[in-house]
Amino acid sequence: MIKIALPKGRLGEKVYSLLAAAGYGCAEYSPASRKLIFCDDKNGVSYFWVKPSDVGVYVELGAADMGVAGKDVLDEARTDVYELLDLDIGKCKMCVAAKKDFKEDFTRPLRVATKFVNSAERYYSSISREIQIIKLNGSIELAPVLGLSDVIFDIVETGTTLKQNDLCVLHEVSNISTRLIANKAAYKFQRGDIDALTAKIKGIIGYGNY
Amino acid sequence: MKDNNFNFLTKEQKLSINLKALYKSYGYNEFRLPGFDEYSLYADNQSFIGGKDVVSFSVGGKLLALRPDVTLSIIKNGKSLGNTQKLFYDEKVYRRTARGGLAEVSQIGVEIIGDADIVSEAELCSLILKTLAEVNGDFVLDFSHTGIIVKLLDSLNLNGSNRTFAVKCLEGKNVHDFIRFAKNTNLDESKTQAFMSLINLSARSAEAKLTLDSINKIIDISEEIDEMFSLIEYVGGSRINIDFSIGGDTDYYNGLIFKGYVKGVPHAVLSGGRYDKLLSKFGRTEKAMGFALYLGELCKYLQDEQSMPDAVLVYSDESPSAVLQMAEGLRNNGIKLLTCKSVPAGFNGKIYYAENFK
Repeated sequence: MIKIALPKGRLGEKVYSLLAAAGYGCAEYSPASRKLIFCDDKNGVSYFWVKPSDVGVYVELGAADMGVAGKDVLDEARTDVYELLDLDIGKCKMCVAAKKDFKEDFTRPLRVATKFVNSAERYYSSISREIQIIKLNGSIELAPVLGLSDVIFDIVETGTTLKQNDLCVLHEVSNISTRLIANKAAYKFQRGDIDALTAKIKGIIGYGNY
Repeated sequence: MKDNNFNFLTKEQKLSINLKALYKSYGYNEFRLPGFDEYSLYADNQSFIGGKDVVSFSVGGKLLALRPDVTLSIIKNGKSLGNTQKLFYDEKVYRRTARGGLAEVSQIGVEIIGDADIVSEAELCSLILKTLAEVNGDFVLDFSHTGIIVKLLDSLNLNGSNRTFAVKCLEGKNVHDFIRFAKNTNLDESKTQAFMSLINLSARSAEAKLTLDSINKIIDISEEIDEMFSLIEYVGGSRINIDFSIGGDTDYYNGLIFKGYVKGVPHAVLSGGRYDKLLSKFGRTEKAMGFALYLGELCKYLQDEQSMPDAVLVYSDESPSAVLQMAEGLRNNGIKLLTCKSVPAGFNGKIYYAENFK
């Protein structure tokens, strides 16, 4: 039995459909159900819904053998797991954005609003730029508009929110997409099953994007 | 009646005793160390101790640290005696936790310092297999070789952050990001393929050997392949997988690396390898290899049943000497007895009341 942690929400449902199409469906599953755990003995899988940012924790600590998480979340937490496949969905970019008329003052630390504190610190450390982190949990785009920060460090999907708030992308830091992950120890003992699942998913999404 | 089966010991204590007996049976000597050392020893070798946050303190202006790792202290405090030293330790290590707290965990391990030849190497592997089997019969031992990783990284001309990124892909079995990286940095195609096959290496020894042989046609890794597969042959390889994702710091390690996993524990419980390069950093010319079992961390997953006494003796205002005498009398009859003023919650054994003994 492979235990899989899925992120709650639309992305998780999309991933579940992918897994079901690969032969890992679950008779108990219903999108309308509020049940958090469902399993299928015949297909040898059990699923549970968790908060997207918690998937890595469940997998790293072994409560789940596998999981599906965004690269942004994995990078932020430096999750120690195997990253077996890029599912090529939930694609976006980690960007630095600011007000359109922003001019950087290199004589003082840059004020950076973000919820990705560790990723932002690593990025600015790699370019030797002193920063002051302003940790926010949402509506990050508001920070430069209200003068709370100089820039934001955040994921950008379509750029519509930035445009509507008179912000623009200054730097694209990295590409983000959804990854299929596995607990390192679980992989040692269930490698055959985990590899088979990964290969079936790979067969469905195709390998053209690599 | 005395309990001579040592059933009162915790699983951690039993494991520690059994492993020490195993290492002693190989003629290894126990090495004891103080719990602290100079802070600079750990600060200068941060990557060897895996970036663990050290607990430091100052005594008379001298900065000391509670030991986060045993191997470094053994190398620093041990002396070249001219002959090969084979030793083991059972010590506590200390570190800061991610949330700022302090942790004390047990670590038990083996070190061979001196002429660490193929016999010693095979002996060490055999000890590793026996150590893991003692923890749990269902285990896996992963083998990697830094020599192969370094040669491939060198052949791809990877340095600095690019090298770190490639190693991260290897450690995460992340082929997709490595392919993108190889394309963006115009890496040599055949060597990129070789590195990818290292990431994707089969767990089956025969298939892994075929893959490594094909890499050997591009980069000479014949010596390393021979070393790994000879060892597997000497010690019996049914539980050994070749897996380069276990990594290992190439600044310190220079040959075989090991990581052990047991069923039911979500992380590696044992790690080690050949670390001649670490010794040379201390100006020593000998060879060295060893491993450590993270006993304390492992034992979080080994549940001990809370042992209850057979009986309790409840007393109130009876004379102390009478209570002690009654208790001793009952214990002499082989009863595991707790003296207390009220019956502990959940206790379902025999209850004696001191007042009834009057």
